[in-house]
Amino acid sequence: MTLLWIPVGMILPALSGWFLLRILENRTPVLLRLERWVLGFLLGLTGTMELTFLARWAGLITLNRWGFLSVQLILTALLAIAFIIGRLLSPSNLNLTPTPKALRPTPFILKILLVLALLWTVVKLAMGSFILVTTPPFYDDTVKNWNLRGKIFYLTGNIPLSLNTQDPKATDPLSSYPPTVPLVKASLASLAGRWDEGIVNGIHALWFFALIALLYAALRRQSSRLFGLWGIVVFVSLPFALFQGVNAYADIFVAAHLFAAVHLLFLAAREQDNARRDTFLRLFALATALLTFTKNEALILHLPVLLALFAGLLVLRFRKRHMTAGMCVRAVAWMGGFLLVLLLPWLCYKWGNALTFGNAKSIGGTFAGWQPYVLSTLWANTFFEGNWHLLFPLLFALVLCRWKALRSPLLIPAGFLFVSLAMQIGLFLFTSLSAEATMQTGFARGVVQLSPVAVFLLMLFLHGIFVDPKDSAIGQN
Amino acid sequence: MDSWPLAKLGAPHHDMSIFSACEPKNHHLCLVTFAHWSTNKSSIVPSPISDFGYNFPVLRKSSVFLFALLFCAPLLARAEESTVLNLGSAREQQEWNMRKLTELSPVQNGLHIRTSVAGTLLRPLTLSHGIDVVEITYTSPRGGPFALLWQGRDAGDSYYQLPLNLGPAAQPKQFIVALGAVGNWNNRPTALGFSFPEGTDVTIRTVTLHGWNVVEKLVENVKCFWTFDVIAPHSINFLWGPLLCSSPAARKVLYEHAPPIAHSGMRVIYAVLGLALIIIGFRTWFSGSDRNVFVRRALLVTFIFWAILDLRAGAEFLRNWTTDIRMYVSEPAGRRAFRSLEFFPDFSAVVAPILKDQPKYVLLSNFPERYIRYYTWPSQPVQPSAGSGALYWLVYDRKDLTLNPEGRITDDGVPLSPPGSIIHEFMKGTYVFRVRS
Repeated sequence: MTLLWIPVGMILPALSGWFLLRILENRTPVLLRLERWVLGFLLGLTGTMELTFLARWAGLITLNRWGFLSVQLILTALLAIAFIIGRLLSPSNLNLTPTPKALRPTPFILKILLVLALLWTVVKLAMGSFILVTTPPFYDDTVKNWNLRGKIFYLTGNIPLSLNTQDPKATDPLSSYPPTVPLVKASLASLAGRWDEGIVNGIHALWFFALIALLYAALRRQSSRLFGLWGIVVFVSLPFALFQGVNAYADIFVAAHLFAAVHLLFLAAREQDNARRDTFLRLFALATALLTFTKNEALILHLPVLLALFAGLLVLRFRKRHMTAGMCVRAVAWMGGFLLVLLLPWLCYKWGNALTFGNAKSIGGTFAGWQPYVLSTLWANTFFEGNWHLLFPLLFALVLCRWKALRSPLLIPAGFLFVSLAMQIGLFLFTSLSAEATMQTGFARGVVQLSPVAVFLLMLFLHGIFVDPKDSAIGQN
Repeated sequence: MDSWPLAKLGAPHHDMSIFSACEPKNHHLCLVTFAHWSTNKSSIVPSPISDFGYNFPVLRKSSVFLFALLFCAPLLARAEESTVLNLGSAREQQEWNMRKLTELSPVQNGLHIRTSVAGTLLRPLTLSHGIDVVEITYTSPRGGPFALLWQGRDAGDSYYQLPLNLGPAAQPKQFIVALGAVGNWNNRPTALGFSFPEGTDVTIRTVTLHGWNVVEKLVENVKCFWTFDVIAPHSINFLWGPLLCSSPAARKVLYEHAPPIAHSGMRVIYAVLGLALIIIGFRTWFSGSDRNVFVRRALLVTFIFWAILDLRAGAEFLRNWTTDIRMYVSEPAGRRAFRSLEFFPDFSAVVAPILKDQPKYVLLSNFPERYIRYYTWPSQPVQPSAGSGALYWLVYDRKDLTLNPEGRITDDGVPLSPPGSIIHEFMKGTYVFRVRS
């Protein structure tokens, strides 16, 4: 029964997110119903926590039950009012269901196999989630970062820079992490009236389920429900992704935000209708700006790649005359506006408190030349350990064999995936972060953030081979 | 290499088990009888051999099996073989050559080695079987690093070494090294030994050299593939996945070394998958089908292997989570143990209320202080040197610490704490100590 505080605590943030997405969709709803609710929960929660952080920083609230609730209630109320006004002024049709494609009927044996695979998937998810909420924290980052900081926020009602009461003036390097995840935990604990491991850890399972739902919806758009369900089976079958999803770490949280942003940009890239494309780009701008409030690598590694792809898409569309200069300027303005509102305050906070931009360590001045043993470790980690099964050999083989398919909006997820991988590998090969590679404490956790994009890409390739060889959904130029 | 031979010895003690595939009750009849049956069915004499009965049709059907068994008999006849080198025996000690080990002393049941400088101990070998696993029975107060040495195929003065680490062992303990996946391992070395760094204190009792035949190794590889790791601190950063090994001894300690001294099971997956793709490619080519047919078939085969890996990984997770339920979730507080943290989470939770108003406390434990800090925050754990003013000292799993007559916690006679008393003892070596104000 205690765990019911989790869904209760999510109601207001999810509603805020839902209203915000509907406001941004305006007269052109583009999201599936499932997408809107899941994105609403994901982005709404992160956005609410950022607002809570800003309110606390400004001294407007204390981080107790009414402090958290006041922010959530005011935000939800304001967004609801804005939504209602918008709806009254410009009614639109909310019911968006993808048009089923005329595909070959699925063989019965495949349906049976899918049922068995889904049962196996559900068993793994159920067991993992049960263990997550019934056992104490086990891992390092949980007890010294996410849960510790959340507990400190809850107990003190504040966001202190020092985590050591014996040395309250010393800024802890962990304070350089965005406080989103600990704030969510503190919020839930405040609501429940006590710090309960089941409640504060259970939120990680919700983020994992949200990611799975987003992946399903993304694949559902391309094909049938069965195809979307196969995508879930494939993703949850990745051992490392499953294990991260059912543990109290933040990498799946980042993965969900990343996938949301990349998928929205992909949808914008393949959209021919101007109004719908504008909507996708607005939503992408929101998702990208909120991504920077998840973990530091989202700001340093992922944001530049997303912005580069965004800029590349605008330039391409402008040159092909699919977008006018006005449309491009509008898209850039939305992106700039969201970054100004959501990223700039966080940057000011970091600069003002001399916080680093790396994860608990500075990234400046870390170039150290070629680092030996890193390449072989990364090779073993990716292809010869139990993290990813055959995902990467298969994906790389498909990309090599079907590279022409990348001359399409598929270039967005593919470009993001390979550029991000290259950047991570470069960091490990040439900087002092190589220790994280050779000790295997960093690489796989960086890859898990990209794994939903990798699975999405894989499934689209498979769709083109097995389901619809004439698939132009991924190739609308 | 300069050496001082300890003594000369006869042939080492040699154990061999034969024909282990045969049922014990028919052991005396197995080989000869099978050969008799397969060559001359018409002259079968009813006998106490009832495995296959007196039924001619049954025997005809089983003749293929019998023939195969006879074919494999030479392999099956040489199963696990072991050679035990008993260093407690004077005759065995004379086989070993030492270098720079000045404090070497034979003791009851073994050879006691103490080093003030690094030294080596080597023994020439002439075995009739290969060596896949080296098992060392030893005792050592503190354990420590050492290296296994072996001579390469070209003999001479070149020796390979494998760095290893012995844990402390007050009672005789087995240290097993599986060598199948070790680079440059030659399973018939002409010499084997150890090198010890300065500061070593270890008594080696026996060195057992195990070897298995090809069939057994293949079977063990399959079993190793399906042997599971436990949820450990490294699991949140990476998962070892399926491993290969070629002996039961190696399988027993498969995940105990970091990194495991074993090959990845993905080698087999890639090899078999590659072979399957080649076969599919040839069949597609000969049948004149187009490239898309090859691609689809190749993908289907790939996903079959993916499913096998998923079954294995999922089973590993479920096994470990079931263990968590059995050892922790379904047990009451005080009796439950959580993975490698054992009783520490419950201990941390129980002591937290005591420390509520304390700014700091001293923690004496080998478990990570960051773990208990999470439970006791804002009260901070500190080292004994910073413990001045701390009212409580928490001792967890430190049976080596004692209380002296003054009531101070002492480590090997050295007082660590101010005088006080134990206010609650959970078990030996785990208690809450309160400083006398």
